[in-house]
Amino acid sequence: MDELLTVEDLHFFYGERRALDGLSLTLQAGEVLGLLGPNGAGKSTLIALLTGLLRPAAGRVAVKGEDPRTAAARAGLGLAPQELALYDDLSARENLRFFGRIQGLRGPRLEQRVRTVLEESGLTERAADRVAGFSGGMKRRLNLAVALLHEPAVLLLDEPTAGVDPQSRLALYELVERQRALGRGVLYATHYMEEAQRLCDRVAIVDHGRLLALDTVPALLAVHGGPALLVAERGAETLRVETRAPLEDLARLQAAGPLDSFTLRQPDLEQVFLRLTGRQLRD
Amino acid sequence: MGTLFAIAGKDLRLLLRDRAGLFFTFGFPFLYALFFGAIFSPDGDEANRRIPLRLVDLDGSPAAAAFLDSLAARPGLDARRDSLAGAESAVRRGRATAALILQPGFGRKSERLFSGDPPEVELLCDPARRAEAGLLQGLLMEQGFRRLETRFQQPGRLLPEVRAWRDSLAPHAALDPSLGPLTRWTGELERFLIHQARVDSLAAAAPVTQADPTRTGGLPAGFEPLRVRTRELAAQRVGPQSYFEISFPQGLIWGLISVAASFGLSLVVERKEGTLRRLRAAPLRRRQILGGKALACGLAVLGLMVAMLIFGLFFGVRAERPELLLAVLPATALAFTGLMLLVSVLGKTERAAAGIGWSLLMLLAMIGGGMVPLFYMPEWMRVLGHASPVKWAILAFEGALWRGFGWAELLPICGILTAFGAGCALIGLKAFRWSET
Repeated sequence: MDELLTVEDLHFFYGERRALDGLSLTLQAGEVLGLLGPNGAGKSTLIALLTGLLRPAAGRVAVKGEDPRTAAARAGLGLAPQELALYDDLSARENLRFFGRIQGLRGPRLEQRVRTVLEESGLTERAADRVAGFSGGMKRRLNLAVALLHEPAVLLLDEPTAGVDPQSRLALYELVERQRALGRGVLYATHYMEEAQRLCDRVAIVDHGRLLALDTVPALLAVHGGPALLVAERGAETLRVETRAPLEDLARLQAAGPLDSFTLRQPDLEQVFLRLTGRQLRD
Repeated sequence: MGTLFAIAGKDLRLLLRDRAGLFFTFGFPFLYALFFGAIFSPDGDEANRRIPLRLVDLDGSPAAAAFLDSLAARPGLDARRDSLAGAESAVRRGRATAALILQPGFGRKSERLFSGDPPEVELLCDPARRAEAGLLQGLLMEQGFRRLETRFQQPGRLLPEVRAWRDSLAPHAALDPSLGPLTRWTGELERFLIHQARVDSLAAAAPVTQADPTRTGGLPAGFEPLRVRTRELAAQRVGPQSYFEISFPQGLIWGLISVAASFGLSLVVERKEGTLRRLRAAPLRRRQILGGKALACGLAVLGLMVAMLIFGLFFGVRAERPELLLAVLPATALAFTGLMLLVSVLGKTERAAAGIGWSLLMLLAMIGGGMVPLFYMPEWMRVLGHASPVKWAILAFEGALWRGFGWAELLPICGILTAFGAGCALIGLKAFRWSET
């Protein structure tokens, strides 16, 4: 597979504060790589370094082998920043035309791409309306549409579903899945573990600028997730049992006395994060 | 290049959609210029409507005096008696649109109606104000016809003139039969005038005199009531023609400050909202992004200046040396575009940048004559104003409009404006940050 992004032993400081501490990862073509961590973990800093906005204190970042501080390397990047980086007083179409032009699109090609991304993001009907009148979800979809406009090899999505309603969130997921199907690499920074679990081929868990784990979701769960949790209720009593053999443990509890109800909670990324850092992801 | 224009086009579009920004950029300067121009104009509106005219009487006859008095009473004119030298000086300095000179012999020629040359006046006018001169010529011809009308209302005074004309025709009529109808018409006119004079009880008072031999020399002058000879005298203006010529450059300065502030702050807003970061992620260089912003600012500044100059024409604000504006406009645009780039790095947050930026711009306007005209300022403040591009921009505009500057006086000022803009731009580019952190 093609290596689209390379991050090696990356360090960065804001003044005295360490923001990234020896982070290393790669992104392959056709892969969605989740960057999972709480606010302040260093996700946005990594994206800023990948777009050449910041210069590393040490280590190396490369986009298709090139330094992202060169314009040529950035031509292959599509960024959907955490902020809604749009012009509120322009219409959706005007925003797309402008960002398309600065990406080098012109003439019929530009118009065709504008039409396509408007359709993909479900905004065709509102294309002529000013962005100021859009809902949060519509703005998020347009924010992503701008990143897709020039069909970049690498998409950097920084918290793309922040503050979005469930319907828009699903539409955004579909857009991301379509990019993967097209062979693009997606770096997906989020602090929503459900998103990472659903969308990402691999997940990098970061905290305080350090990479704590990087693997596929099943592998992360297997290695760091711990046992499943069986919760059963008998009368006023609640029983919690950590288990690697839930059926056997359930039968054992039932044999001790009839149960009113039970739930089995499989390990998730929340638990992985808890076990790796000793605190909740949303702390 | 396409990218530069894409960024500039986006910024200009955003400016046009920001109603408040648009008002302070384009509306407020006009209001400022009109308000202060109107309240400080000595004669208010009346002065703007009336044509300033100087009247010179080189004849000194009662007819000349009556002609000038009658003209001075016309409502569209601001007519004043003057000496020939005074009138020429007034036209040359632009204090008067024209001067009307009644030549010696005006009164004598006025007495004749059907013989000799018509009375002659000379209209001395500024070639730059031909429209007003044309209007004056029309008024003069009307005045001449009024004089004829008056003469026909005094048949006793007209009879000797008609008889002299008849006598002068008689020898020619004998030789040329085609003059017969004219001779008969002259006889009819004489009889009509005698009758009219009797009716008016004036016939007895009318002296029936022999024809004056001096009046028989020429052919009838027809009904040309007045001969107007025009002479052009280019104005060499010193000082403004009206307060509008002071208030328009001042008003313009407020627009330029607004453009510099709004484009400078728009960079801060773009930094805050993340659009700058998005532009940075595109395959663009810093100079393209900032160049596009500077281009938009420069175009807005140029557009504002051109609009103000065109609008000013309706209020009599005319460049004495229009060609100087070719240097004034780009130099001023560079100065304020540089200032815009400086404003964009003055604060980390939008609020800080707005506070510091506006404070700086107000200070520059205050010491540079944007609030109070430079010539009202004490000497020490005029010296302090050297540090402000506002002072140099106003001086450059006034130089082209009414200060009578030539290239030698103007180019150093344009150089200062350009250097100021370049200096500010360098500081702005050096201190530029892509993000707030």
